Amino acid sequence: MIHRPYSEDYRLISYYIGKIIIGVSYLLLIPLATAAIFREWAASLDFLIAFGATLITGYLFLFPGEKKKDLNWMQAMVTAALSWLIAVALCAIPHYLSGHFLSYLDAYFDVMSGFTTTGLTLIQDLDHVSISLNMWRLLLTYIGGQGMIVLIITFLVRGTAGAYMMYVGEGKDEKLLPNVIQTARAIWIISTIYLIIGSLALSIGMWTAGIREPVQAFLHGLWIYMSSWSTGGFAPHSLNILHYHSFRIELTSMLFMILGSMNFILHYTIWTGQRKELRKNIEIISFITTITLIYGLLVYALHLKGSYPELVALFRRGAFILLSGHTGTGLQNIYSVQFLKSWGAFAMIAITLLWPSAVALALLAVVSKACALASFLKDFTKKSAGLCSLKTLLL
Amino acid sequence: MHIFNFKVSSREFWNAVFGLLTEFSFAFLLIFLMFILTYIFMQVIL
Repeated sequence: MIHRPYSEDYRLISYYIGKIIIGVSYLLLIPLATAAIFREWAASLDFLIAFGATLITGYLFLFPGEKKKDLNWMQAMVTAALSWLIAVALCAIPHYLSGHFLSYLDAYFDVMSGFTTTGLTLIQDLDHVSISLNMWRLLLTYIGGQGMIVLIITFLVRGTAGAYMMYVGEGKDEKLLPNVIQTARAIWIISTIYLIIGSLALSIGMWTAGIREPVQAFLHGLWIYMSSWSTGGFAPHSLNILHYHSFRIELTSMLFMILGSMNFILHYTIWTGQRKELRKNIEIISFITTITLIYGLLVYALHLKGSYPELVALFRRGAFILLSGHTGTGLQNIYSVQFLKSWGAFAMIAITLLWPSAVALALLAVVSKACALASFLKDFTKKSAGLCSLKTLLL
Repeated sequence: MHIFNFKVSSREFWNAVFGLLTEFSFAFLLIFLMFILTYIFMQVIL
């Protein structure tokens, strides 16, 4: 039965959408401040326009809205869905104004890709993007990894039942604590502690890799951390992580890809003293099993092909690409065309073995043009996500 | 008294620290396992 919405439904939904959009507008202050610090005046104007538009839109939704009672399921689902669509449209303003996108639709696609941690991008001339726009792109990925509504619930929403329904409406089902606001707060505490550790570790990595300017080393460390932890796959350079040519950075990134792919219930359980859960958790067991099996096949396939005669070279490429794909991150430390030239069909089938439908994509990539391979890497990561969903259903 | 309510007892703090170290150890070990697998395949089996 389809519930017919009444005017009070519209007012309640409008109130919460307004709250969420206002929360999103505050996020724009981070790249705005970055633009001001680095004296990127053109970019700061873009962010100022976007901030103003987002804040005004938020209040336009908030003023006619009313909060007489808490949200029900229908209202919460509509709020979550509409908030996403509107927030993405507003967050795409600085992207579009930057001139790095051919159309507003491309900018919208890029922001949606960031928020959903998909990692596909339509940006033009990525290597010459401003620092503030890179900060915004990677920040969107990072926030998307934890959940946009989770963030807003943490700081702006007080009602518990409605907040929980919006949380579910965003596709989250992790209940770390009985209260959803405490759950959202716990998610952000875990993420923030990892953010500090990860950014520092990768900043030092950037420094040792040759970025001798401390601020640049920190920014690149922060961005690669955000991309790895949220399993988003965005990078500030068109060559992705290959740009840094550093095994240390790749290893550190691998660590945070693994840690970022663990669910928050597991993080919370381990952090609250139940460390044995790591050995019992079905996700971890299946993760180790599949990684071991696929990696064995991958090494065999790459060895047969003779692409990487040295042990470290094979480990560096094979392990990174496999972990990147398996965790759904999509960072790359080889050129896309190397999939064709160096890896061969067997290696690609090996990494896509658990996802039969992705094998078809791999074969398609082999016989078609090289540029299809970049999207192929992202495609098989989606199959990995699909497998996780299937596992959840089966269990 | 709970770490995620910002009120942290000594025990909870150390639980969180050791939890963090456990997670890092797990990630390190998994990467090391992959390296050992590479070694076994390349130097022993193949």
